[in-house]
Amino acid sequence: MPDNLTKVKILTAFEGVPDSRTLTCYEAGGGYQALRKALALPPSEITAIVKASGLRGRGGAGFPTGLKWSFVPQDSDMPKYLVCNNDEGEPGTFKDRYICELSPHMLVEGMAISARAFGANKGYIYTRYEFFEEIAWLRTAIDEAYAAGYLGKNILASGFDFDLDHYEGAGAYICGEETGLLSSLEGKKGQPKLKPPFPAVSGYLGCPTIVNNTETLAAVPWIITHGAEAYRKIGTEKSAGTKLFCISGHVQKPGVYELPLGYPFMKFFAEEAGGMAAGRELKGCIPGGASAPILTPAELQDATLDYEDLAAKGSMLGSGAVIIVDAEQPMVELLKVVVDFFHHESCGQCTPCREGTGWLANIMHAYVKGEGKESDLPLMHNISQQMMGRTICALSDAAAMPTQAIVQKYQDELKNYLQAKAG
Amino acid sequence: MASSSTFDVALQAKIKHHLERFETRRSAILPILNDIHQQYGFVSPAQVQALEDEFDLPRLQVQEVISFYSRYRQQQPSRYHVQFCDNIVCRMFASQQLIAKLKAKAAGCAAGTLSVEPVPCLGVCDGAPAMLVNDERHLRVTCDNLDGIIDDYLQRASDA
Ligand SMILES: Cc1cc2nc3c(=O)[nH]c(=O)nc-3n(C[C@H](O)[C@H](O)[C@H](O)COP(=O)(O)O)c2cc1C
Ligand code: FES
Repeated sequence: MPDNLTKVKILTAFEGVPDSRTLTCYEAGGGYQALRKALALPPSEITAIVKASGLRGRGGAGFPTGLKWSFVPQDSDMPKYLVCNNDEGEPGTFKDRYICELSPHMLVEGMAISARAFGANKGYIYTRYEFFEEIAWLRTAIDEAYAAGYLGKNILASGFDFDLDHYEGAGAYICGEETGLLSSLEGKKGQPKLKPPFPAVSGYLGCPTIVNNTETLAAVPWIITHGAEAYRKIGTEKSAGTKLFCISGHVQKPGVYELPLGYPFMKFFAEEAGGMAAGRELKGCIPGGASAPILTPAELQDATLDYEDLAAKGSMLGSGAVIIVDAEQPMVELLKVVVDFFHHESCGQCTPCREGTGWLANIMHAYVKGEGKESDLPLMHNISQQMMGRTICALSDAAAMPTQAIVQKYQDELKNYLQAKAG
Repeated sequence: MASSSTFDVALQAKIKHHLERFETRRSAILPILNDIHQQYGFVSPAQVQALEDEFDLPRLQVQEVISFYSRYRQQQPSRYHVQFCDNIVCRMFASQQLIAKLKAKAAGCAAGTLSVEPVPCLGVCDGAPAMLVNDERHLRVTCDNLDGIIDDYLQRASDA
C-alpha cells in the first residue's frame, strides 16, 4: 500500500545543511553515486526504472516521465537533446527556485542520468532571467561538475558524453510552454508549435528532444539509488512519490514544503503552513498555480494533494503552487489580475486566445469600475468555453478554466459587488 | 574591425563566444542581447546594426527577438529601474499601493534616476511583495521599508 502521510525528504534532503550548493557537500551526502550506478546499467534499464517508479512530470501536466522518454526514436541518427524547463513562470510557483537554492547538483546529476537513458549528449537548462542569483548557482554547479568529470566527455570512464549548458530567458511566460521554450532556445520569439510532432520526435532544431521540469529531473537520482519500488511506496496509486508544494498568501508560514503526494490539504495547510495569518479568514485556494480553478473552503475540507483528487474536484495539481485566498481579497480584483496576466502573456498566434483573453480583460476592467452588468458573468463563461481546446498551446485553456471557476463559485460576491457599486 | 567596433573588447569577446557556443549562430541572439542589457540596460539601433555588420547576425532576426521579450528595451532606462511584482500574491500584499508610492517618488527625482514597472510573478511569492531593483531582489517590501531601500540606491547614485 502506498503511504501518503509519512514525509520523506528527497528533493529537500539538503535542507538546513550548510553549503549544500557545493559539490563537496553534495558528494558527502551521497551525491553522484546514482550517476555511477546508472552508468553501469544498460540505458533502457534506466528508462524502465523511471517508468516503474510512477514519476510524473512536475511542470504542470503530470505526464509519466519514463513513458515520455520512451518516445524518443532510438533508431534515429540525429543528435538528441535534454532540456530542463526551469522557467518557473506560473504565478504562485517558486519551487524550482528552491531546488536551485538547495541542491543545484541534484538537478545536474538528474540530467546526466536522464540524458543517458535515452541517449542525449547535449543538454540545456533554461531559466527565467529574473533568477539572477539562481542562474549563478547553476552555472557554478555545472562548472564544478565538469571539473569533477561528471559532465563532458567520457563521464567516469563510461564512454558516455554529456555536455550541459545554461540558457537564460528574457521575460515571457509563454517560454515555459515546452515548444515555446524550444523556439526561444533556437533564438526566436517564444511561439509554441503545433503538436504532433511532439518534441520527443522533433524538438530543438528538429531533433528528438525531451523537455522536463526541474523538479522532475531532480527526483531521478533518488529513484535510481533507492529503486522504483521505494518511490512507488510513497504517495498514492496514481500519484507516486513526493512533490514540492509552494504555499503563499496570508498564511502563517509561506514557503516550500516537500510532501508525499496524496497528503491531505487541510493537514498541510494547518500543520505545515500554520493556517491563516492572524485576523485572516480562508475564502478559497488556487491549488496549482494561476491556471488552476479555485476551490472553495467546503471543497478543500477533504481534498488531497494529488493528480486524481484535484482533477476529480474540477481543478488540478498543476505546478504545486498553493495560493491561499483570504476573505479580504475581493474576487473581482483576483479575476482581473488573472485575466490581465494571461492577456498580457498570450503570444497572439491563435485568435481564440489573443482575442478571448482580451475580451475577458476588457470585461473585467469595466466590471471593477462598476460599469459591468450581471449578464457579464454568463458572457465570461461562454467566452471561456470557446477558448478551450482550440489553440496551439494550453495558455488559452489556462486563462479560461480559472475564469469559469471564479465566475461560477463566487457569483454572489461578484453580483453584490456590482450592486454595491451602483448603490 | 576590433578598433572600430561599437562594442568594447570584453563585450566583443562575449559575443564571439556566444556565436560559437550553440548548434546554430541564431541561438546566440538571446545571450548576446542579455549581455548587452546587463552592461547598458538597453540595446541601441546602432548596436543592432553593428551585430549585423560586425557579426553577421541578420537585423530582422535580432529585431524579432527584441520586440518579443519584455526584458529588451530600445531606450535607455532610468539608472534604477524597479520591476515591482503586481501579480496575484503580491497584490494581496499591497503591491498597488507600493507601486503608486514608488511612482510618486520617481516623479520627485531627477529625470532618468528612478522608474517603476509593474511585472508578472517573479517566482518569489513566499516573500511577497517582491521587487527587483535592476538585478537585485527585495522581498517583503512594506510602506515603511520602501523609502529606505530606494534611498540607499539614490545615495549611491549621488556618491558616484
Ligand atoms: C502556458 C504554459 C506555461 C508553462 N510554463 C511552465 C513552466 O514555467 N515550467 C514548467 O516546467 N512547465 C511549464 N509548462 C509545461 C510545459 O509545457 C511542459 O509540459 C513541461 O515542461 C514538461 O515537463 P514535465 O513532464 O517534467 O512536467 C507550461 C505550459 C503552458 C501551456
Ligand atoms: S505573485 Fe509576486 S512574486 Fe509571485
